[in-house]
Amino acid sequence: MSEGPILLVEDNSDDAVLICLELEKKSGQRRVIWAKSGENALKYLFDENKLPDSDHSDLPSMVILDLDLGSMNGEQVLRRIRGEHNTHHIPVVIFTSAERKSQMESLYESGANSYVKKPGGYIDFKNAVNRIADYWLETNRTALRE
Amino acid sequence: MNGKTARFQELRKAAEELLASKKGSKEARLKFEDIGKLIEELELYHFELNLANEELNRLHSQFLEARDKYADLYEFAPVGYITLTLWGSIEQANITAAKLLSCERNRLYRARFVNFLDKESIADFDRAFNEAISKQCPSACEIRLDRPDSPLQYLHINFVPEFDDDGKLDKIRATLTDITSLKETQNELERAGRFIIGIVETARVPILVVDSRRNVVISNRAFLMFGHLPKHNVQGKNICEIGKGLWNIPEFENLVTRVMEKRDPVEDYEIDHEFDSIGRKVILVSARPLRENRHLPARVLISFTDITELRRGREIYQEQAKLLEQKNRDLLLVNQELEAFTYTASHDLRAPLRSMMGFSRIVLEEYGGKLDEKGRDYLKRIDKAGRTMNMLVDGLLKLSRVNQSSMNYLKFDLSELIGEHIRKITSEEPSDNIEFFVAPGMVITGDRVLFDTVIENLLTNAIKFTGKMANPKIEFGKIDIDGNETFYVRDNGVGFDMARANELFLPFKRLHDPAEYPGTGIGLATVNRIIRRHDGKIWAESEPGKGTTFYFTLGQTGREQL
Repeated sequence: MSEGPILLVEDNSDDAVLICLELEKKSGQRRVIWAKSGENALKYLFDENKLPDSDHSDLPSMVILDLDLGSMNGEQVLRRIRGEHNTHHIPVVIFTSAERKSQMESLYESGANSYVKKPGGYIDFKNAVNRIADYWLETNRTALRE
Repeated sequence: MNGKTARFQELRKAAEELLASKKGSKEARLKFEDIGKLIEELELYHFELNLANEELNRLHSQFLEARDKYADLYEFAPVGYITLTLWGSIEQANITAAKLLSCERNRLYRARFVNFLDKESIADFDRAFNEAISKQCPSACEIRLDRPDSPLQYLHINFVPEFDDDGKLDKIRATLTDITSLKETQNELERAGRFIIGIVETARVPILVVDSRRNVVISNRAFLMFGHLPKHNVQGKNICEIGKGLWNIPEFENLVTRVMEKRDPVEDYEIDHEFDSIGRKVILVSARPLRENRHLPARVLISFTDITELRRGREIYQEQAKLLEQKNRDLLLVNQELEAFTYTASHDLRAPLRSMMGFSRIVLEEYGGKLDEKGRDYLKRIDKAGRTMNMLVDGLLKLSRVNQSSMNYLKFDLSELIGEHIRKITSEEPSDNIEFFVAPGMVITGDRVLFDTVIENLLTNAIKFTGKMANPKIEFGKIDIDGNETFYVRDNGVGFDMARANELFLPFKRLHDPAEYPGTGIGLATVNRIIRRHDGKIWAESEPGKGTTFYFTLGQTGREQL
């Protein structure tokens, strides 16, 4: 099982805090890296200075990706992740309040592993984050390059 | 012949002398040869007489034959012959006349001719009869007979005066011709004519018939009324002169001429004309040639349809329709905007709401110990308000989705769906004391997802308002109202005042105290919209303290689409 950090791409800081709170409660030692925009996420993933090719330990074990992110949207981020040799195996969970069927299709085609709608109420929201973490971090096995 | 007569006289003279000498003296004696001669003469004469007699007999029979022939001609002629005295009595009549008058011939004699006539014909007869007498020249009349037991009969009578040897008017001869069938045909034609005129007069369409010189032959009442014209200003006038030139429209004149010449009908030719006395009119003119007979001059039948009002109505209608269409478009746009707004607003309200509730909950859980009772109470209030708002937002989202989603019609068992909802609700919030009745096998055609919302809302509604009753009962069933399959949900809950029934389905309207019966006021509005999208109707009947029944019907649309 990978012990890499979780990359959270979320522009709403409230949501980000709530998600982080739950994720940290879940697995205390795992780091959560919060990117407030698509550009920041890509910078974290692909900046050579920050991420030497030899060291995979900082590659995230999963990405939780919001869709409405401002200038660069979630789908673009997803395509970049899937397009790069180093990152194309990382599980990407779309976590968004939008519910657009047509977009959902193209997202799966672009390589999304999961699509979860943000529930309206806080309790449901909390539970959803927990279930994502449970499945993708505890249950699911990925083809990691180590 | 003269020779013979002379010999006769000679012989006679000799015979007389002989007779006288016999009387006077015995010496005077007829010689023997003389007697022989006399006998010869007599025999010759006898032959001659016989020949003459034969000739006479032959002539006589010839005469008889001719007489019979003429008598036949007279008696059986196809025309009746009668001779009338100057006082109108019948003196002679042939067999045909007797037959025509349906009377034996011997009874005709001395009878007055007028006795055979229909009352109405007597005057006509007298006029013609007296004319023949007074003017001493032929005259004629048509009369109708009045004979018991015989069908109606019409006669044409010709009178001819007859004069005696002194040239004095003596009698009137008359011929009687049976014109019954002619008269009947004529009557039939007259009836047909009256029938047609009746139709033309009654028609509400103005009609004109003009002859080849474009003079009016027939005009009906509707035509006169159209232009407010007296008949004498129309009948017989040229179309240009009708009503002192009211119809002097070159376009109209050309149309009539064209139809007359080409002998082709024209339908619905539109004339838009400013009339002197009746103002602007839009008229559809139809004209067709009347082909009575190839030898008769052409006539044209013209009919008019005044579509002025219709046209004006159409213009107004089109204007209104355009206006309405624009308004509809505006409304649709506003509606769409509103729907979109409701959707995004409620959607976007979610995130801050979640933050509010989430953080107040976290503060309460993580830092509750550092707050006093008051502080914790305030936080709880924030949380409760957040939950209420969350419900409102949920409701609004559902409401806006009802109209945005497309209908997905399915045939399904409503009774089963209700059962599922009852099981789900009672498992979440045990309500053992409520008695549920669901009629089995209620199968409907509708959008199942939307009906989930309908049943959920109606059920929670019923549970909410029966919760405080002693023996709460909730019943789902189906009845027939005026031939419409009508579903109902009946409870014995608190009920409401029917005076406010019209507010029941308006969003955010609540008929009960929200503290006692919490709710958003959106549920029934959503149900109403869903039922309406199924082309159905929903209404409620209630009595405070006794309970409420919600009824709903579903339209045919879904069933047709399946």
